[in-house]
Amino acid sequence: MSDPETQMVPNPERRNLLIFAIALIGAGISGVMGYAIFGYAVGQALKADGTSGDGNWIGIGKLDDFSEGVPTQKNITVTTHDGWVNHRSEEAVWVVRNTDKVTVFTATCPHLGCKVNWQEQAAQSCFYCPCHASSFNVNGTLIKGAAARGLDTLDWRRQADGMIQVNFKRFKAIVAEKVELL
Amino acid sequence: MTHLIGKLYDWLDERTGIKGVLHEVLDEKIPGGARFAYVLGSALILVFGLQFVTGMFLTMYYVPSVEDAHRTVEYISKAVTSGWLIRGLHHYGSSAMIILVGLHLLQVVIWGAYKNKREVLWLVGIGLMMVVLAFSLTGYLLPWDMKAYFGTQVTVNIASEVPFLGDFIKRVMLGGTTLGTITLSRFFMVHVIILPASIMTMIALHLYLFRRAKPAGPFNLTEAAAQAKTDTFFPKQVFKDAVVGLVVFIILVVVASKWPAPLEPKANPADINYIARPEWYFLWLFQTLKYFQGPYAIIGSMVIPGVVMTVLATLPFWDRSPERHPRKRPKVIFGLFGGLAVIGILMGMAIQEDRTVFKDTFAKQHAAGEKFMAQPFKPKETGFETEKKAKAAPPAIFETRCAMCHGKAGEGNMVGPKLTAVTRSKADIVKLIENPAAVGAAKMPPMAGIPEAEREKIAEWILSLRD
Ligand code: FES
Repeated sequence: MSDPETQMVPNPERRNLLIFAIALIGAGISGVMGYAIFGYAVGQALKADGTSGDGNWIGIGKLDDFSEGVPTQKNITVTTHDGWVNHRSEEAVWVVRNTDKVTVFTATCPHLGCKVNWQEQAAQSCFYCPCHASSFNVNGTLIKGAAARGLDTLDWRRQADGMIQVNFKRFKAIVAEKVELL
Repeated sequence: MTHLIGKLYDWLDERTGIKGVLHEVLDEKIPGGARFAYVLGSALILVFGLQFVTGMFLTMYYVPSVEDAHRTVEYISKAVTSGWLIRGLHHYGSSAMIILVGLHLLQVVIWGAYKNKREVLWLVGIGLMMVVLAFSLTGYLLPWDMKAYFGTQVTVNIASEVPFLGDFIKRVMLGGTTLGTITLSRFFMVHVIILPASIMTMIALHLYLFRRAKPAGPFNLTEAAAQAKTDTFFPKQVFKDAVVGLVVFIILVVVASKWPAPLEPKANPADINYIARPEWYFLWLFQTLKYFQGPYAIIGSMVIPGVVMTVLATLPFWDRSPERHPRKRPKVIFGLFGGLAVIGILMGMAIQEDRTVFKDTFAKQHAAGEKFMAQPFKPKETGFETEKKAKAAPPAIFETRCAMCHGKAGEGNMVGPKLTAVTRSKADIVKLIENPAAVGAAKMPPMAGIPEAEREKIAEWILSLRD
């Protein structure tokens, strides 16, 4: 059982070799664990969750439900793929009728994600975000405020029975371009 | 470069005393030289570290409730990146802990390393072993699958056999009268807060006492001979520790990849065919239970384990001679191997009986587990009720007679109040529509000529709007 090479002071070369081997083993185990945990905690968060995408058409009503040139708030039920649950919850959109077309905006402010509301004012009615005072005109164009782009529009289509559907999506905050979150 | 690092090191040392700490930690003298025989403690610390890290990350997705526990464990195993590995390491790591604790204990007994003023060190070690067992008992319930549920049911009922206090203990363990969400919560809390805090304190104490008592050294060398030939802990012993640690780690990763940590279908208390079995390391105790029936049951569940534990815990108090060589301590060594043989035989019998008597049931249970693991993960659907409610259209007559004041969906307008939070009874509403004044709603004009059947429909619809 006893080790013939055992001595009080091992020669420095052997000592360095041992230290190198210890470091290598330590790095190996930490590396495997680090890689697994990185995927588990970070990689998982970067996976597309399937919440966005083109399959998500939701009915919001017929053309006559919306008034010309004035935004109407509509709450739609969206399905969010949220880890181990599929969650159904409400989201607000704004619908503006334009003769036989509509424009649909998400109610989420493109600045930092508060909700915009329509404010009737004598001078200029606008979508107003109370968080950092961004305002947008009825076409969604930015009038002034902290946001870097106008309100985000959603794709819509009309079914044979006249029902209008929107494709609900979420977009990146802050930036000047409209970037879909996947 | 080296010069700079040296300077930085000096700077740090002046402020932290790190050189002294490292000297204390790394330059400990190993009497008789570094050996593979001394690796078990370090291997335990490594596996405990793995359990700690994987356990921490499991709580990132796990939810301790009857409603969600099983689904979140399934989610970790099937859908999360590397989830199978994190859970697999944690699952098999618990068995590795038990094996290493067993080997460590065995070695200390064989080497007589509990002698010479090491009683407290030994007692803390026994305490650590019990904490490890408590970890495994509490962790067993958390996945909330069939075996978790029925296995814990048995454990809790065994605890209730304690004389006088049994019912009280059982109730406190369950958190009430049934094994359910409250039980799961408290097992979870004990498993992830109390036990980790206790084990870390006790490991620190164990290491401190170990350093204070000094390593016992080989049993076949005199103290002088052992001291004549020593290594420092670092790097020779650390290297041997690291090699063994690597082997243990590789085994765990390979096992977790080859046999993914099992998960059976969600606990179903109504399943009368399910046969519960404890983890393999409790099988010998489980087998003992079979031999003591009726009023003697307590002998198998309490007395025998209690006596074994007491004898073990008091070992350094009754084996007091300074002799350490196993050949010269026949009583202890025979006792040890006799005990191990009995445990082994009981375990073998338990396995043998299950393989023959319950062969088909276990095959079925196993197949059910495999089938469940092979199915793709299906998320839980929530929030769908709200949608159904919103979709129900009002009765046709509501649109013509009521909607102008109460809104098309009962949301109310300037004239009439909203109907989405009405607290009246159905009969009340039916009456109100025809004669509002009679039930204290004189503001609304009476709606004549709506047949009772229609009014009932309206009332039902209004009540359906409430959440
Ligand atoms: S969030 Fe709307 S302006 Fe900042």
